[in-house]
Amino acid sequence: MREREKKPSPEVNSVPGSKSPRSMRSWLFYSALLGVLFMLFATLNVWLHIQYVQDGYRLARLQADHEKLLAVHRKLRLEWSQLRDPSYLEKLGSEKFGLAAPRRDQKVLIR
Amino acid sequence: MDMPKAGNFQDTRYRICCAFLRIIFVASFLLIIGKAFHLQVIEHPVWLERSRAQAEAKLNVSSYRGSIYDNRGRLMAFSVPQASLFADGKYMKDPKRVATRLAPIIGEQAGGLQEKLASGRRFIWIKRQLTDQQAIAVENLKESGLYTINEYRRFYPFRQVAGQVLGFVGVDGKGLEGVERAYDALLAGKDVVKDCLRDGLRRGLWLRSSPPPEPGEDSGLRLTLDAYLQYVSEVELKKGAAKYNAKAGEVVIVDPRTFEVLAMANWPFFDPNHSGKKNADSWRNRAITDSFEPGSTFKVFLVTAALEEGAIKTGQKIFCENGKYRVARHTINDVHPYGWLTIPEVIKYSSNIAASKIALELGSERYSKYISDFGFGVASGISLPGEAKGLVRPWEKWRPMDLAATGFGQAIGVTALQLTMAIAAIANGGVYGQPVIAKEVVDSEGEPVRQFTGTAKRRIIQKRTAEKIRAMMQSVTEEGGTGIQAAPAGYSAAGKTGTAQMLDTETGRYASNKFTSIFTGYIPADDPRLVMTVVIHEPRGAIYGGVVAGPIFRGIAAKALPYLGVFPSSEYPESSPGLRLVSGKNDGEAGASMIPHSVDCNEGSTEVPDVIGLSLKLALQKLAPFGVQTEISGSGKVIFQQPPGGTPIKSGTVVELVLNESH
Repeated sequence: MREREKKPSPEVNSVPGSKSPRSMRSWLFYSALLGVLFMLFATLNVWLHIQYVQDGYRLARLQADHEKLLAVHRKLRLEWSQLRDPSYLEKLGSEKFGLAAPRRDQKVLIR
Repeated sequence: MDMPKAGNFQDTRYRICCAFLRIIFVASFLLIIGKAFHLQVIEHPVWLERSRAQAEAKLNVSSYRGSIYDNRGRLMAFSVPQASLFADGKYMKDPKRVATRLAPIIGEQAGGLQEKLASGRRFIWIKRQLTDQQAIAVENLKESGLYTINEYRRFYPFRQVAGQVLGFVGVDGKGLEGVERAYDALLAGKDVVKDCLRDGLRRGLWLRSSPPPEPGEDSGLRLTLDAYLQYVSEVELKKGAAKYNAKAGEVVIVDPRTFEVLAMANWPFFDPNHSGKKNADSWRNRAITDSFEPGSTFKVFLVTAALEEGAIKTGQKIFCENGKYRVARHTINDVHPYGWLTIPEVIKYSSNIAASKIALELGSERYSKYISDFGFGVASGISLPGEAKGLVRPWEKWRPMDLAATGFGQAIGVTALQLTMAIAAIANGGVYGQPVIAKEVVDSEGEPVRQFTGTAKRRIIQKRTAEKIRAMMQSVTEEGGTGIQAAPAGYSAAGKTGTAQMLDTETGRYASNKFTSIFTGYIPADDPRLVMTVVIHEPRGAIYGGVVAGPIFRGIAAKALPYLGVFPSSEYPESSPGLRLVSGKNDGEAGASMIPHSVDCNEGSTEVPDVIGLSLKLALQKLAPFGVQTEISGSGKVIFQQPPGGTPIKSGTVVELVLNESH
C-alpha cells in the first residue's frame, strides 16, 4: 500500500501519447456518455421522424375526409337548388298543397 | 516482484484490448461513414430514383368547373363529383360472376360486361358517372379488380329552363354548346398537380410544409338571364305553341336600358341534364341561329327610316289602292282593302301597299343603311356560338320589287335576337347596343370579380323620331290595332304584329299553308322595361301574329312586370282583368325571393257579342273587351260561333270561331 501511495501519479510520469488506466476509464466514461447522448438524440430524431410521418398520414386522411365533406356539401347545394326550380315549386304547390292562382276577388293591390 | 510483473502484463493486455477495440470502433465508424458516403454521394441518383419510384406520387386535384348563376344568383349549372367505375383485368378472378352481380346495379347486359371484364386489360371503363346509389352498391360487392374514381358531372338544377342557352358539357367536362362552350376557357379551371408520397400499401401521406391542395372553383359566371323570367317565358311559349300546334317557337326578352338579355326561350325545350339522349336539332338555340322573314314587324324600321330621313311626315296620307298594287310584274295585296291611310294608320293596320310605296320613296341605298344600322345582316355580337347573320342582300342588287317587299318584311331574314335588339333601339330613344348574356365573372363564393357590360354602339335615330314611332306602335295594341291581344290590362304596350309566309324548301316558293307569326314590342310603352319578341313557327288554326304571338307577349308581360316592380297603372279599372297584388313596394325591384303566380282574368259575367259575318280582325276587336279566349279555324269571315251571341259568359271563356273564305 505504501508503495502504491508512493507511486507517482500517471499524469506526472506518463509518457506523452500514452494513457493510464484512470485516464482510460475517464475516456471510456466520456465516450459512453457521448454514446448515450448520441443514442438519445438519435432516438429523439427517429421519434420525431415517426411523428412527422404519422402527421403526414393524418394530414392525408384529413384531406381525404375534407374532400368527401366538400363533395357532400356540393351535392346538398345542388339538391337545394333543385328544390328552387320554379316548375317544381309550381307542381308541388298545385298537386301537393292544392294551391291555385288567386281569383280576382282574392287579390288586393297595395299601393 | 511478482505483483508488478502481473500488473504490467495485465496493463499491457488491457492496453492491447483497448487499442483493438478502438481500432474496431474506428474501423466500424469508417465503414459506416464510407458506406453512407457511397450511398448518399456516389449512388445518390440511383437511390433517389428508386425512392421516388416507390414512394412519390402525383396528387392531381381537379378543380370544379365554374358554376353558372342567373342574374339573381340562382344556380343554373353546377358540378359535383360522381364515382366512375373501372376494372383491372389482372385482378379480375371470375369475370362471369362479377358481370352477373354487377349488371343489375349499373343497368347493363351481363354478357357484354363479361366480355369487357374478361379482356384482361389493365384499365377498362365499365361505367362513368354512376349515381350515388350505384356507387354504394358497387362498393358493397367487394369484388377484387373493380375500382372507382371520382369525376365531375355537370348538373342543371332548373332542368329545361334556358336549356338551349346554357348548352352542355361532354363526359370529359368540356363545354360543347351554348354558354358552356362560349365560356369554356373561363369555366374549365385548372387542375392542381403536386408531388406527394405513398407507402407500400398505397396510403397517401403529406409531408410538405404547405397545406395540401383542395378542389375548388377558379371562377364562375353570372348571366344576365333571370331564371324566373325565363321560366315564365317558357311556360307561356309552350302554352301558346301547344294551343296552335306549332312546330317551334322562340321568345327573347331584353332590357333596353342595359342591353342585357333577360330571357331567351326556345320551344320545344331541351334538358341539358340528358343531352346524350337528344339530337342536335333539339339543343339548337334558334333565337340566334335561325333566321326568318320578319313580315310586317319590319314596317316599323321602314317608317322609322323614312321619318328620320324626312321622306315622309307623320300627318301625310298614303293611298293604299284599295287592296291591290302592282310593282313591276308583281301584285302586292293587303289583307283588308284600304283607301287613304295616315302614317300611324299604316303601322296600326299594317298595310303592305303603303309600306311598299314608302320603301320606293325612300330608296334602296337609304333604306339599306338603316337596315344595317338596326343590326340586321350582321351578327349581334352576343357571345354565344352559332349566331346567324340573317339574310340581307346588297342594296345594289335590289330590284324595285325587292325594295318594295323588304318594306313589308319579305326578301329579308332576321333572327329573333336581331329583331329584339332593333326594337330595343327604338325603345331606348334611338341607341343601338350590343346584347350581353354574361353579366359578371364571379369567384368560388359567387362574388363578382369582373363585369361585362352591354355597350351602346351607335345612335341610329333621334329621340323625337323614336317617340313618334312609339306612339304608332302603341296604337297597334289599342282598340282597332292588330295587336290588341298583346297588352296586359293596366299596362300600355308598344308593338307590331307580323305574319310571314314561309318558303317551301322543296319548291323554293312561298308555301300557302306555312306561316311565321310574330309579335315584337316593348312594355310599358312610356318607360320601357322589357323589349320582347315572340316568334311562332308554323302555327295551325290561326296564323296572325296578333292572334298567335300577341297573347304570349301579354301573358309573359303580365307576370314579368310585377316581378320587376312595375305595377299596373292607377287608372287601371277595378273590373279589368289582370294582376291585383304583388308587393307593397312600388319602386325598385320586387319579388327577389318570391314568385308571383297572380295573373287572372276578369270574372265579371256578361254576354258574348254576335260576330258572325265579321272578318277575323273585327271579330277579335269586338271580343277583346270581354277577356275571352278564342279558338279560330279557317280564314275569311266568321260563319260559326260557339257560344252563340248573347250567351252569358265569364272572362276567360273560350269562344270558338269558324271562318270561311266564301262568305
